Amino acid sequence: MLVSHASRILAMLPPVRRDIELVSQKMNSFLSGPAFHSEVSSCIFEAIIIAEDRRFRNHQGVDGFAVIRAAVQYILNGRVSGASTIEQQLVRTWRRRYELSIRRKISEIAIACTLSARYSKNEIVSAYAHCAYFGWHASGIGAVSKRLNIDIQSASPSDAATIAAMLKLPMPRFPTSKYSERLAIRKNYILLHMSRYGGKYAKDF
Amino acid sequence: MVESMPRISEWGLSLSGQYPDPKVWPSYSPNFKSDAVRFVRLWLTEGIPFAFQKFPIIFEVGREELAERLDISPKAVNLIGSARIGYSFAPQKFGVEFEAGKSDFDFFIASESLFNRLREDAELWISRYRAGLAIPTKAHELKYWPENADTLAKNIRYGFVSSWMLPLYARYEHSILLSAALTTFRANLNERLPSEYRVKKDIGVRIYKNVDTAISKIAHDLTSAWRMRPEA
Repeated sequence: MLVSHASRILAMLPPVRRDIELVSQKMNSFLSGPAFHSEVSSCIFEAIIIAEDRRFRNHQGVDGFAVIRAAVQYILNGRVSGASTIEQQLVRTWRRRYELSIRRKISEIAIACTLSARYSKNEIVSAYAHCAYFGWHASGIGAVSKRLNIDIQSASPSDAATIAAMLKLPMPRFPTSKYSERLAIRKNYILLHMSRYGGKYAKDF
Repeated sequence: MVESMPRISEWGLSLSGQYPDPKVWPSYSPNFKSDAVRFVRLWLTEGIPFAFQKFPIIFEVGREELAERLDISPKAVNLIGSARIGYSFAPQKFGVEFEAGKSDFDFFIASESLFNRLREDAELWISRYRAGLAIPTKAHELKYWPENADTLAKNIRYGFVSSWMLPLYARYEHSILLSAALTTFRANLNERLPSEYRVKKDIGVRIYKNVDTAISKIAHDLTSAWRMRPEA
């Protein structure tokens, strides 16, 4: 709630406002384009949500629990862990800003909250899936499905988990056996959580 | 003028005829890489192959048919190894004479379009295999796929792919087409050749992205084999 109010105030700052317009333009252009209307198996979106942002459907662009967990981990162990929501990752990808700075992070949260208020969760996760980086020659769900020869309309939970695992482990042009092992671990982790939290997908396991 | 003249080794000057005597090889100097390249370019990629001395037109018609099936130029199809020069360049049998009806027929194809088609198949297979989507089930797949995935990736970087490493599944259509074309190529050769000259084993082929890459890689392999020959 507090973050939401703060982000509304931040959104009034000119540089943040400019970036909100940029991200909104990209979102509107995506929603009116063919990619949004192409048929994608919903289990791919579910796998992405489970892999990247499990509380995606319950927050407004910022995951307070994840932020607190990341802060505690940093204070106790000095370890930087992820707390970015799908909205924040979408903003980062579209703004092409990846520098490690508090300023970038705060503006990202403000834009993510605005995005979350303006668009539906389905629109946001679809936009993210279509522009996220999955590896070499695999930017967006269309490219990754072409690279792996997966039919995204009828992808199985296993295919979906493989694709979602590539968000954390982008596939290089020539993946090694070590990469393969790491991807399999990540994929199994996603599959396990899909069976636990995936609702209708649980029956497929 | 004299300073810019290319250097030729004693070994290079000793090469004569279409199929130089294997006895010239002890004097080969691996430091003269340019002579190895010249040898490959002239002796291993031009002229009538040793195995087809008596029936050159059968070889020519065969590669014409193969080229048509693969939509490439017949000039892109080359026979190398013992069937080309009359003796082997494999490390363990360096200098061993070609034996009609027994020895292997090693081909290479230098074609950018075919290389790109097969590279796409190979990259798709490597990606699917490493992502756990292409799962080996047969004994030979379980045995060779892990190594093939690494070797294919390395070879693509060097500019070639080996036909025998490509998976033969419908998803990899260019690999299937190549395999079928090679089977027909062998069958057609055998139909036209006298029985004692027939090609007994499956034909394996390396596909290079261009002729210069092929020549340079074969010259490199030749030097490595010479260093590893039994009498070295």
